[in-house]
Amino acid sequence: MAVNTTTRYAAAQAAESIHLKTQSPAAGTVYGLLGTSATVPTDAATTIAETGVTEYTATGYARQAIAWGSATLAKPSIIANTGTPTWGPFTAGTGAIIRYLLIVTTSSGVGNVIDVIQLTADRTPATGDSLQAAASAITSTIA
Amino acid sequence: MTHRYKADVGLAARARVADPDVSDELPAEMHELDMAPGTEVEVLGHDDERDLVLVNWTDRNGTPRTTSLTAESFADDFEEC
Repeated sequence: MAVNTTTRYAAAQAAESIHLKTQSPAAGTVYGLLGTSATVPTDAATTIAETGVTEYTATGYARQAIAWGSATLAKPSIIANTGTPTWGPFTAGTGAIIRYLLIVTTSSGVGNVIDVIQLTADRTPATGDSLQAAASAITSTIA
Repeated sequence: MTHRYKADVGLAARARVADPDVSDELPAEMHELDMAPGTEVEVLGHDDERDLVLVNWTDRNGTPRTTSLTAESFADDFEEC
């Protein structure tokens, strides 16, 4: 999966946390949202809506929880997923091209956005297919 | 509340057969990722924008999954445990 760009929301959250201006949020769950080729999402965004992403809508699709390993102690620091997040199976309404993965704060509906990632290759699942990311395939880099 | 997928074929396999645009045969790797008969699911909530039921379940590989279902499919294909 291609390198991410962190959003302005993520940058502000990180800056305020590491400078001890605010207490970091408690550990929680973030989710992988699949975006289609219909629009190009921007990382100059705080909310999912502000990115302009067109979320995939096939029946069977839902945002998947993404688990993370520890970030590398390096510059840039990289954090990568653990496990194999899997979307689907898609049972109807397939055909759209999946091009983006956004890391977001909610399992459905409105929420904030942390990363915008373009897949290394488009995916167009057929009815009955699932889409899976390998361990460490999803990475987020903070310089 | 826990429900069980009660159909006798996998969720993806059945959808595949019903779609005239694709081969009936589900590839082996997709079969592995299918929701198998007897799978237990927990209702997570409702996707209001798409009017779909969201369920959590664990696949054959132990991966936690969330899948959306039509209300009709959920009513017809799942039973309360």
